[in-house]
Amino acid sequence: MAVPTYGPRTVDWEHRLDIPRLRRERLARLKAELDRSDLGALLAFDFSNIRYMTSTTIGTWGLDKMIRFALLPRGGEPVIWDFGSAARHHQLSTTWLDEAHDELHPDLSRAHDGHYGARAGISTLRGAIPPAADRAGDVAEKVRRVLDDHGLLGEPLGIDLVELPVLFALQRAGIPVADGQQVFLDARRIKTADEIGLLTHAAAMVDAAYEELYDWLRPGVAENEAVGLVTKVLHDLGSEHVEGVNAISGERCSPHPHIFSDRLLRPGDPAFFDILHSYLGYRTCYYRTFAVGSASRALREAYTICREYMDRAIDLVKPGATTADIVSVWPTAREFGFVDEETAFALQYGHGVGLSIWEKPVFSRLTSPDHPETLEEGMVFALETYWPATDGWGAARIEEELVVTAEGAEVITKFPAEELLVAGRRYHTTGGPLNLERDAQSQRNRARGPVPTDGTPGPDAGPRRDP
Amino acid sequence: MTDPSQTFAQTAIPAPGIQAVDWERRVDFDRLRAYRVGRVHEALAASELGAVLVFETSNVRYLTSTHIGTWGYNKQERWALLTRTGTPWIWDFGSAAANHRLHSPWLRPEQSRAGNTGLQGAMAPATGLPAGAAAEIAAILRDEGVAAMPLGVDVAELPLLRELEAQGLDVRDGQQTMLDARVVKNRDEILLLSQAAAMVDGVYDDIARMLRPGVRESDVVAMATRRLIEMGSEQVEAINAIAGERCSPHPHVYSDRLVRPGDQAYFDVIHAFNGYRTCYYRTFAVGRATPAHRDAYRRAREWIDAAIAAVKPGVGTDQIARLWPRAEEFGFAGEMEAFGLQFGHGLGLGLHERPIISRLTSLEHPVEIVEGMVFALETYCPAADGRSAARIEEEVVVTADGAELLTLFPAEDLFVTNPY
Repeated sequence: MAVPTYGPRTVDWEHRLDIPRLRRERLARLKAELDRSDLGALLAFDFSNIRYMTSTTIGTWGLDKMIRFALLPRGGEPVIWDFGSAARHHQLSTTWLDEAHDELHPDLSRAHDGHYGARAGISTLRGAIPPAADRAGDVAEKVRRVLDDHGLLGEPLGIDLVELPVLFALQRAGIPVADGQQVFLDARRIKTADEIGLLTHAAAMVDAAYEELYDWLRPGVAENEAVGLVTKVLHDLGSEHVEGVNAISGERCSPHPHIFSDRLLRPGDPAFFDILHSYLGYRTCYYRTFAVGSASRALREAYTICREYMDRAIDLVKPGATTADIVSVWPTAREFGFVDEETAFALQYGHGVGLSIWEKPVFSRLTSPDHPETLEEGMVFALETYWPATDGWGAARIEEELVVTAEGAEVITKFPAEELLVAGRRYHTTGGPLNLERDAQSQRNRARGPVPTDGTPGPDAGPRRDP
Repeated sequence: MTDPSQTFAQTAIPAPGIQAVDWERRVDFDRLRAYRVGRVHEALAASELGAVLVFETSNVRYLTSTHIGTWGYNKQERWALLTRTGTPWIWDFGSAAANHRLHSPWLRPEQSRAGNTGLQGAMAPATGLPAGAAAEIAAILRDEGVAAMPLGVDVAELPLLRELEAQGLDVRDGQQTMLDARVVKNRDEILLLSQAAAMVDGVYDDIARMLRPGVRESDVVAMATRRLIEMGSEQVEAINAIAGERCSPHPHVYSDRLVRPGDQAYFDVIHAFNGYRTCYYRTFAVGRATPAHRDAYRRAREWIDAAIAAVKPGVGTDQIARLWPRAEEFGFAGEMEAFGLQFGHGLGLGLHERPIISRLTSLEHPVEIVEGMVFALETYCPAADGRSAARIEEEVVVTADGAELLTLFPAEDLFVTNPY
C-alpha cells in the first residue's frame, strides 16, 4: 500500500502526518516558483492560495469575499492582512507568520511590535463600503509599503484574482501588475507527502459518507435530505467545509444539472452523487452512481460503458504519460450526444485536486490534445466519466481520485464502483426476491419469465419504450 | 424606484411556507426575476457603463436567476452579461447551459451558452480560453451597440482582463452598478430573506437543546448544517461556532474544541434560501453563567437595541455607528483592528451588501438608510474575565417608519442552556 490512511489525531507513538513539515514544504515550493518567475512578489486574494502561502484559514463565509489578502515578496516571508480580530488570533496562535520576520529583518519586526507577518486589513467588502472611503487605495498602500521594505518597488506583482478598484489603485501606486495564478498553480501542482496524506484522509471520509448513503437511499427521500445526511457524516468526521454535494436522481440525470434539488427519489431511479469537501483544506471530488431498488437495463449498460472509459484511463496513468494520452481513450462529445467539446465540458474530465478542486493537470478533449501536460510522480487528480442511458434520461457517473506513484497510480477513492450498486431494501414477492434489473413501470416486466442469473439480459428487461 | 408591492398586509414581516400553493400568494418568482433585471437596467441607465460583465455568484444570480452547485461558488468560471439595450446572457458549464435552455425559459435559449475561461488558470491561458471568451463578449457588445461605452466588471482574473482590453474595451469597475441595483429589496426578496431567517430560528432551538459539556463546536456545525439543508437551505455558507476561551479574540472559524461547563459560546449561522442569506448570531451560556458573562451580554444588547431604535428611512449610517463604542473602549488599538465586531451589513444574494455600518468608514462616508433595505446589525462585547465574550446579531427590514426584525430567536437576555 503506497498511500496509508492514518488516524486524524497527532500521537507521540507513531510518525503520522507532519503539519509543521506541511507548512514548511508548501512555502518552500511557492518561493521556488516565485524565484523561477519574473515576478517580484505574489499577492493572493483566493483562499486556497492564501492557505498554501500562510497556513491560515477563517470561516467559509470568507471564501468568495476577497477581503483578506496575503503577500509573498521575493526573498522574504509571507505577510497576511485579515479581519481585525482574526489577525489578532493569528498573532496569538499562528505565530510562525510573525516569527519568520523576527529572524529575517528584526528592525522591521520591532517597528511593527513584532507583528510584521499577521496584520489587520480588509479590502472593499466587494464594493459594499462606499468607494469614497478608498479601501482599495488602502490595500494598495499596504502592499506598496511591504514591497518597499523589501526593495521590490518597480518589480511586477503577480495577482491571482482582483477587484477592479484594487487593480486600479495598485496601478496608480506605480506597481506593475501581472498574472500570478500560474505561479501559484505551478507550485501546487506536485503534492508533498503530507498533502497526499491529507487528500487520502479526506477521501476516506467520503468512503464513509457513501456507506451511510447506500444504507439510507430509498423511495420517498429527497435529494436535499441526502445532502443533509452526507454533510452531517462529514462534519462529524472532522470535515471543515462541505464545499458542495451534487445529488442528482431520476430524469434529472441527463443533462447533468450540477445541482441538487428537492426531488423525491422513486423506485428504479438512477442517482448519482458528487461529494466535495475539505479536510484541513484538502479537497475531494468523488462521484458514485446508485440504482434505487432496481436498475433498468439501459442504466446498467450505461454504467458498464462509463466504467470501461474510467478503467482505460486509469490504466494509462504513470509518470511520463500525458493528459493527451489519457483523453485519447475517452469518447468525443458527439459520441454521447453533445455538439462539441465545450458543450460537453467536464463530463469526460480530469482535474488536479489539492487545496482547491481545480488544479493542474486538467484532462479534457477541449484543451488536452493541443496543450498536453506531462504526468509526474506526486500529482493527485480526479478522473470522471459520464455516460447517458439509451432511455434518454438516466445516466451513470463515476469519479476516482489517483495519486501518481513512481510506477503508475494508486486510487484513493475506495467505495466499490466496479459494478452498478443497487441501494434500498430488497423487495420480496410470492415468487421470490424481486429482480434487481427491471423496468420501473411494473407492466413492462410481466409474464415473460425470470431474468437469468448468469448476467445475460432477460426477456423482461428489454429497453424502455418511452419516446 | 419604489416598488408598489413593497408593503405587506401585516406590520410584521411574514414567513410563509416555502412550497408554491394555489390558495395563497407567497413569493412570486416571475415578479422577482423581472424586478432584478429591471433594477440592473435602471442602474446601468444611471451609470457611465454600456454593460455589466459579472463573475461573482450573487451578481450572476441577480442578473440571470440561474444557480449551480455550491462547488462553483468562488470559481469565477461562469459569467453573465447585460447591456443597456439587451436581455441577460449566461455562460455556464456545457451541461448546465443545456439545463438552462430546458428549465429557465426567462433566458433566451441562444443566450444560454457553454463557456470556459480556464478554471482559475488550471487550464493555462496558452489554451486560448480567455481570448475566446473575450472575443465572444466583445462581439455581443458590438451587436448590442455598446462596444464604445465602458464595460463594468465585478471581479477579474488577469488573463481575461487583458484579453478584454485587447479587444479595445474600456474596462471599469462594475460592482458599484450591481450594488446600486441590489441595495433595495422588493417584497419577494424580503419574503425569501424572512423564510431563510425562520429556518435559523428553528436551528437555534436545536442548538439550545444540544449545547452541553462534551459536545464539540464542530458537532454543532454538523447538526445545524444538516437541519438547514433538510429544511430547504441550498447552501450553508458558514457556521461560526465559538466556545470558551476561543471567544476572545473572535477567531471567525469553528474548531473541534469540546464545550465545557460554564462556557460562554456564540454562533453565527450563514446560509442561503433561494440565494438569500442570513447572518444571525446568538450567544449562550452552557449550564450556568458568571456575572462577567451577564455583564458583557447586557452591554452587547444595549448597543444593538440602541442601533435598532435608530433605524428608519433618512437616517445616515454614521448616526448608527456613533451609537457603538470606539475600538479602544473594548480592547482594540484602532477601528481596523476591531473591524467587523460592531458592524452592520446589507443582506441579500450576498452576505456583505450595502449598507455597511462601521466606525471605520461610516463616520466620514455615511450612506442614507432607505425603505426596502435589509441589513444585519451585530455587536460584540468581551467579558471582564479576559476570555469570554457576547455576540448578538439581528436582521432588520427598513419599513416606512422604522425597522422590523427578521430574527426571532429570543435574545433579550443571556440564554442559559441545559441549566444545572
